[in-house]
Amino acid sequence: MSTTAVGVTDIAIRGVSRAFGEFKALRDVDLEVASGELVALLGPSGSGKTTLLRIIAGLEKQDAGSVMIAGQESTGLASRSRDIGFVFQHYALFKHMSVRQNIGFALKMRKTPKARIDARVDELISLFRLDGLTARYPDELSGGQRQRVALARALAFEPRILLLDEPFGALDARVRQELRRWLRRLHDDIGVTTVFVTHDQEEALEVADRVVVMNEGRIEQIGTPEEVFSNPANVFVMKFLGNVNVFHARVEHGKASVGGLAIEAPGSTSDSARAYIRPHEMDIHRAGQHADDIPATVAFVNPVGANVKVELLTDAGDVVFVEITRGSYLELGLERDMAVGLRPRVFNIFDDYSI
Amino acid sequence: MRDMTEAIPRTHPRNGSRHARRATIAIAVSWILLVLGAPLTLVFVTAFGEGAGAFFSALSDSEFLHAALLTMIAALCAVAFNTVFGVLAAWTVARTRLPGRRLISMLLDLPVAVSPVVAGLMFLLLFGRQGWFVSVLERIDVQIVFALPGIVIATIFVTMPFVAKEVLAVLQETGVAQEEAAATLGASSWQVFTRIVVPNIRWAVFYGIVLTAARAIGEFGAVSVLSGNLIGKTQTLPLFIERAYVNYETTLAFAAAVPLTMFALFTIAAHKLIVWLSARRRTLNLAEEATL
Repeated sequence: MSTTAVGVTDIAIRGVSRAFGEFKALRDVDLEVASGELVALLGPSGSGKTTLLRIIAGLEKQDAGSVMIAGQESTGLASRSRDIGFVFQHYALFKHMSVRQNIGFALKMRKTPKARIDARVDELISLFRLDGLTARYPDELSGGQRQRVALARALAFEPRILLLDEPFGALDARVRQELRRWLRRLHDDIGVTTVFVTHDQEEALEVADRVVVMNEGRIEQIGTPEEVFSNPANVFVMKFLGNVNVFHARVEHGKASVGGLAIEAPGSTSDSARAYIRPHEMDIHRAGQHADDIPATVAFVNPVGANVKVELLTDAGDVVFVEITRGSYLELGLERDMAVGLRPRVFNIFDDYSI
Repeated sequence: MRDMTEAIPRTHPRNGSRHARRATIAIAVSWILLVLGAPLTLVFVTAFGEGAGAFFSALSDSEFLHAALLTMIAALCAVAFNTVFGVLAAWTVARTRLPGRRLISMLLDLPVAVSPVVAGLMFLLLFGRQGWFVSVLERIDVQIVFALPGIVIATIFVTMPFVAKEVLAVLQETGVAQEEAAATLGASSWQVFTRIVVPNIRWAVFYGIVLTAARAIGEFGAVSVLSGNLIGKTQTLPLFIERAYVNYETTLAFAAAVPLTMFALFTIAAHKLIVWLSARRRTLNLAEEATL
């Protein structure tokens, strides 16, 4: 990422905690976002991602820790002085104002001359494909249109930072797909530092430069989509970012054994561990092809789609999901109750206590 | 233009149930006519029973005019005080984390729940000759009971909840997101209030005021206890009507009842107007767009 190389930090969060009564929404969170980056805060509900976003925007106060925006300490600074555009989950458009008035609101608050407001609003209207809708009120717009108005409104004053809370959450699946790619292109065009909150791992992995995986008020891992998906820091990240199979493993002399298969597990300190393997990271062989394959029986085959999805039952009694190509499906001639051998290509071994 | 028509499934009742339907409608309509329509008509018929001359001479009676003026003063005070108080109370309950805000919300029901006569007695105990505040009131030489301040206090008390409850409902339904959005877009607290909160609650405030005025004008119980009912001094319109009626001055009583009834009808009309106005904006806007 060329923008990271510039080295300007737009948001620096240090040791931020926040509790609501007994509930600890954030526990000692550190995070830096570089200028021009597109970062996703990803986690299940209650993981603290929205609270973190609201603290950055000044809509919520942290109990401890500091938030620096563009190198300036922002604790105690009102939302309106933070130079941050915020898109709310349900858009929070002003119901009594037209699309044009909504988009022009921030400039009006800044006492911008009317001619300049009009020019800027016109520019945004065409950028956000809202032509012909300027006189409409929010309750006369579709979900996708409201979303675009909310974005245009938040960007009208050219803020340094754009924050979005579940930006696609309230839209139906097809519109969501389309807007996702469109947001990515928009970000590439205007380059504003962007942080968005989502609980949808696909959304985070597809759109963001970096993904921050959160759970129970803590950051579990920060990395590029490729890093968090392929090298998850722990079981939570592994499980949250997609389907995964779990195997019990015995650990001896730095080696973990799953079925008859021995794997290097140098980091392991306990004597039992679990191996986590994604469905597409395993091969199916004919029974007896390799002596150390995990013996299993085919329980179900779904041949519809680009990949063939196979459900198997190992002789040890574990249910395993595997995705293989159509080619190897046809070559093996897979069918129900067929005995086969399973062989993982990639392993993620985590000690047992980490669950 | 979006399609405004929606398919409404029509039921085709069998013959037996059609009769039952007609009977139900007949009962409902005659009940409304009997309980609401007949008394309403009676007010106007009796007021003009001795001709328009008698009606207008009744309305130029000096005691009537004084009573009407007093009622208007009390209503204006109640509207002014309860509009400010109502918006503040609703805002406190809906938008702050003040401990005890739920208690405020519960107490708002009290003036409606308690009998007005009891309310009047409560204030009599506070401000009367044996009341708790008697020494303070005597020192500053202010008379509350059996005087205008008593009438105003009683009226304010019984009309307390209307604006507050209307506004509270709207604030809670609207949520805080629009106000937060305005703050992130650069609005100060005052601008958030004037540009976002006020437009959102304006119809609720207006309807609350109409209800407050209607209740204030018609208030009898609390005012009758607290005012002393002194003719030409502390007699409000409802008290005037009651006395006229008891003294067999039927035309005078019903003539005086006409303005009260008219205001009640205006209250209903105002509510319909609010609903119609907020619906019209949408229609107008769609029409405007269709011509583009």
